Amino acid sequence: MKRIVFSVYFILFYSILGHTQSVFSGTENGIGLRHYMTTNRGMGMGNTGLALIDSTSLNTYNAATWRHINNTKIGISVRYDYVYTDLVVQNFSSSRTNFSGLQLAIPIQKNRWVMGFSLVPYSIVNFSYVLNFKNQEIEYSTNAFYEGNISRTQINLTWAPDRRLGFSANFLYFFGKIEDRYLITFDEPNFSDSFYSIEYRLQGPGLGLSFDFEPKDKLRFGGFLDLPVRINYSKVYFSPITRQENKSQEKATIPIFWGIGVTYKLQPQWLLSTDLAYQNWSNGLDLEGSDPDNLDKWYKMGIGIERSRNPVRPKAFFNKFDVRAGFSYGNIGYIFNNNMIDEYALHLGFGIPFYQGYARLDLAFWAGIRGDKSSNLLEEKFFKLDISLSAGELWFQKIR
Amino acid sequence: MKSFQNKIILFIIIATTFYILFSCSENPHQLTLNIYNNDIEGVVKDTILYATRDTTYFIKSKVSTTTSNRLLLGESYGVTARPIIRYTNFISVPDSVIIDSAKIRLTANGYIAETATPSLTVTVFPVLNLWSSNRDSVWNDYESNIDRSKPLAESELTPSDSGAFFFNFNSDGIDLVNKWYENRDNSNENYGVLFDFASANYLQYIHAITSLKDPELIVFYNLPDDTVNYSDTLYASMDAFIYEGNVPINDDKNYVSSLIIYNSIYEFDIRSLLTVYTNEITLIAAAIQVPVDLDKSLIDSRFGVSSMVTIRLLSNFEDSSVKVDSTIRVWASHSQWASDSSYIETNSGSAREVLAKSIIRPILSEPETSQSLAISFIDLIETSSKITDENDFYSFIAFVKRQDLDQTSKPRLWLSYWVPPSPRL
Repeated sequence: MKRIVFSVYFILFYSILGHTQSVFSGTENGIGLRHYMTTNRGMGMGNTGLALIDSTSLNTYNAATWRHINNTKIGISVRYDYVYTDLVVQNFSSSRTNFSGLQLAIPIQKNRWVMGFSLVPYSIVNFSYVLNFKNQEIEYSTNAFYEGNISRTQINLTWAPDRRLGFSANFLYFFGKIEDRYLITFDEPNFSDSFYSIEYRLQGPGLGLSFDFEPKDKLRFGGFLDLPVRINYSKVYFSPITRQENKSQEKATIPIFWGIGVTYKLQPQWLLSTDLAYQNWSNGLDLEGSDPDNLDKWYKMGIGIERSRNPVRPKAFFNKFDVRAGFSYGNIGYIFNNNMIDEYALHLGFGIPFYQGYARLDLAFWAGIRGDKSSNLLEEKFFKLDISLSAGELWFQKIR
Repeated sequence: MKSFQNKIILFIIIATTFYILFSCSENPHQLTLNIYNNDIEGVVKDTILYATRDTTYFIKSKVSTTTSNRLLLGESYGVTARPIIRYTNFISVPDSVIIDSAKIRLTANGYIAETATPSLTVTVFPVLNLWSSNRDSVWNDYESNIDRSKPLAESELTPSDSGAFFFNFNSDGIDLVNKWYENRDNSNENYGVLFDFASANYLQYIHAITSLKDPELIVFYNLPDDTVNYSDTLYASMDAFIYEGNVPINDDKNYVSSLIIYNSIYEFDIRSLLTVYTNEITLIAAAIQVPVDLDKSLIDSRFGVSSMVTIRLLSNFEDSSVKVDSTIRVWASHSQWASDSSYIETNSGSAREVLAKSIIRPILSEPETSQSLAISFIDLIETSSKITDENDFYSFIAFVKRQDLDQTSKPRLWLSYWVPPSPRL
């Protein structure tokens, strides 16, 4: 367990570094860019994974697949993110490493009952900029900082009534805050620099389901459903006039979110996987009086393949670890310059087992393009590296 | 196998660490175009509020002049002023001497005159009672506080910006100086002198104590058994000037004045901004612009209008007992003419920022309070720092009343404000 703790500490060290920034994450009416990843293994296979069974790593959205673990498992992930933003007249880049997920699963009855916990980012807002204005001969600069994230926690109970079938019931809790801060500065001493910030706090419980079904030995289906979540939404700002903190509170809804995936074992070492995840953000958080016209459906589809290691013949180089590749396509759920924003990415992944196969280091590299200069006036080229560490050992089962 | 795995892991950790550390970029990004193209950035706007009411209130007839940097002597523009000075510091004069002559030297520091042929004959008289300020009750009738039967010195003055005036003491004067010298350990026996005149048609400014050209008493004396005549220069230990009169007020004007204090009050519908902008706004600059009648004004050539301030009025507009917010301790002076030269307006620079942040902004946040501003010389502001006070000069500014002006020429308050961004959600 010391190795696990050390590794977790080491990975968390990365998560405090840097800031990647996406212009799209600052879009009004939105809660940032959706963060969606089932497993690091699936990320290497085109951001699929809903139907992947795995006895080492834990699937964030399809907890029904957790029935395949034999001992207590913990998984932690970080993501390194590099974005190169290309505007019509300028470009810039940024990078960041941040926490990407934490899962813990504890088998209660081997291959039948598992309970667990997971915490993952749900959406991330991060963009800051300086923009100079000239208004009625007054020159000033606006420094804007959009920062924050919404997290999804899950407590799930997984049940396998049959070796080919598994279900999970998930209690969800969403929480987080987004803060928009503005600093307006003037060169002329006539004018007082000013500051303004609005903080949006969201929290609330929800319910979800997932399943894992293997109709044939080579074919497997998996999916999840997060029911609509009614959350408390509050807006907190510091009044520039009264110098007092103001707070307004209302109800908001995170729309239904679902995904389905299929895997097919082509050969003993070759696995094909495809997924689709969908969430309709057209109405945003469905706030009263809000009629956003810049939001759209969010979806993600992908296809990928994996060549797994061969522990029987480990001397060959490519038998020492798993190799994955895939392609993904999606829509990030915003309309920019009256056009939807597409996202394409190529994926490559590796799974490196260690600790006699009880643990695994997964790496997923993916690079792609978000947006289009001709239709969206800007595009973001990104490169991401997901690093996950999955490990486990027997906990409570021994004493039973 | 295990060694290979460890090498792979080590390599990956080192490689990613270096890559992450060296690829971070500067934040925030300097953009050259507004990529969001919506209201999320907020906007700077400005507006002009015209005064809805204006008036003048008399505040007080006398201010203390004991700390004044200039002593006033003479009569002009409705005010008569007479310096009073005490010399109690004889520490530099040896014991047991006899002062055989003495004179007072005053140094001019500008003047104001109404006529082209000003003249002034000044006589120095002994004061009869102890005083510590020009506002002491002994000065309610100054004639009864001097011994007019014993003039000590006399001099003919002509207006001067920087020349010296000498008053040579006569025998009564020399006797009085010797008496001050003999009672040098008991200053309460020294009541000083007053500079009086029969008539005057200008006001001569004179350097006061701490002005580097203090009023001097030059004494000449002999030491016992010594035929050499010595001299010593003594500086005044206390000075002030008593004054009376009134500002030549015209009812069709508003006034700001020093010495005899009048304040001009202007009311603006400042909180109307809140009805226009339902979202909150933040004030970033303000300037008050008031039309002035230069022909009816007396502006000190040395200080101009630099000592005028705009202060928040706490009392109601109708209340003649004017109360202002002097705790803020911020002030916005008026030292420049507006571009059309008929207005006085708040200084450009930090004064406009202060006026917005510390005076106008509280009016927006306190809905029951007065929306009026007082324009005054700065005696209403308490401060620990030495400032040029309204007791250093005599000045009055006549402002044109709003009812005598067309809409666009009325006294006005220019406000610049930032409408913060609209919420993202």
